Amino acid sequence: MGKRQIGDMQPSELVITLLISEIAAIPLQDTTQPIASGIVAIFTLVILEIAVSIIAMKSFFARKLLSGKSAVVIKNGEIDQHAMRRIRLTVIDLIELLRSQNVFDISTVAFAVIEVNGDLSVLLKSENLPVTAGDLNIKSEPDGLPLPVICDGKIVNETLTSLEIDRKKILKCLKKEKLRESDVFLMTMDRYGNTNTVKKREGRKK
Amino acid sequence: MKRLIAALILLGLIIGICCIGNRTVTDIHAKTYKILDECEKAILSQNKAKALSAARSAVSYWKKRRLLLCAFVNHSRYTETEICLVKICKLISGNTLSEALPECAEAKVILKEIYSEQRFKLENIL
Repeated sequence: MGKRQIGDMQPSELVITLLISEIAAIPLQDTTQPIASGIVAIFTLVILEIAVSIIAMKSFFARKLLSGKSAVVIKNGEIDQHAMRRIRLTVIDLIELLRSQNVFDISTVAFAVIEVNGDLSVLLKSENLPVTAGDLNIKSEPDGLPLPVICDGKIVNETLTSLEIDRKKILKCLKKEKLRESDVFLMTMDRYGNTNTVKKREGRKK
Repeated sequence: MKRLIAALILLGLIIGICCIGNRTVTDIHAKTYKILDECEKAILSQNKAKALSAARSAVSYWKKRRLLLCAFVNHSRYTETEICLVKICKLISGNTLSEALPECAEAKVILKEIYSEQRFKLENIL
């Protein structure tokens, strides 16, 4: 099922999750029930869930049957009332969803799509979109993903491998800020060498 | 791919547990049934010593294998069987062989019924 919350699960995944919890509780509560029957039932459900997810991944029809499809509720600035009736979405629900996307005026929306998990995706009209650096022809610096290189006073070796740097570079940065490794609560670095350091508070230092 | 491998591993485990469970239950039931059969024959031939030895052997074998059996079958189903086995021992040692015979038959029937109900068959699954 991946790293998802309950609200993001597909209906079949939610059903399987609830079934597994029910079945797991039976041999735990009823001591006369053999543990093997619970284990076999749980494993069977897990296999079924994996099989269903693989089938849904390979087959468009199966995915549509199991997960449904997204619905366009606002098209070219106009609300599609048939689509809303089909997915049983009220106007109040739509307005609430738009507000959660920081849209307070429907007239600014070009397209709005209700996804299969119930979220609303909004594309504003071009004249209502926020200005970007590209629009103003401003040359911006390339982005680097900051990754934690020191967490709670310890260097994270996996991050060093991802950034293709060694400990010496980290220690050099620390020396520049007159800090020791154990004094740092959090230090992030991106591939361009930009760092952000949070020192440990007094009392936390070892 | 990882999910598929995980699913196959789980499937292997399920098949393994089911096969081991099936074999264990079949063997223990068959052995106990056989011992009870010997006990019944000994009672019918009025051989008290042999009947008592078989009955005690059944109880001892049952006590050793009960824990393993209960890992695969509902525990409460075997209460009646255990009561029957103990009764058989007491009745034979109390010189009431004629009363021990129906208990032997009852224990055998119960074992047969439990085995039939717990087997991996389509009727039981559906």
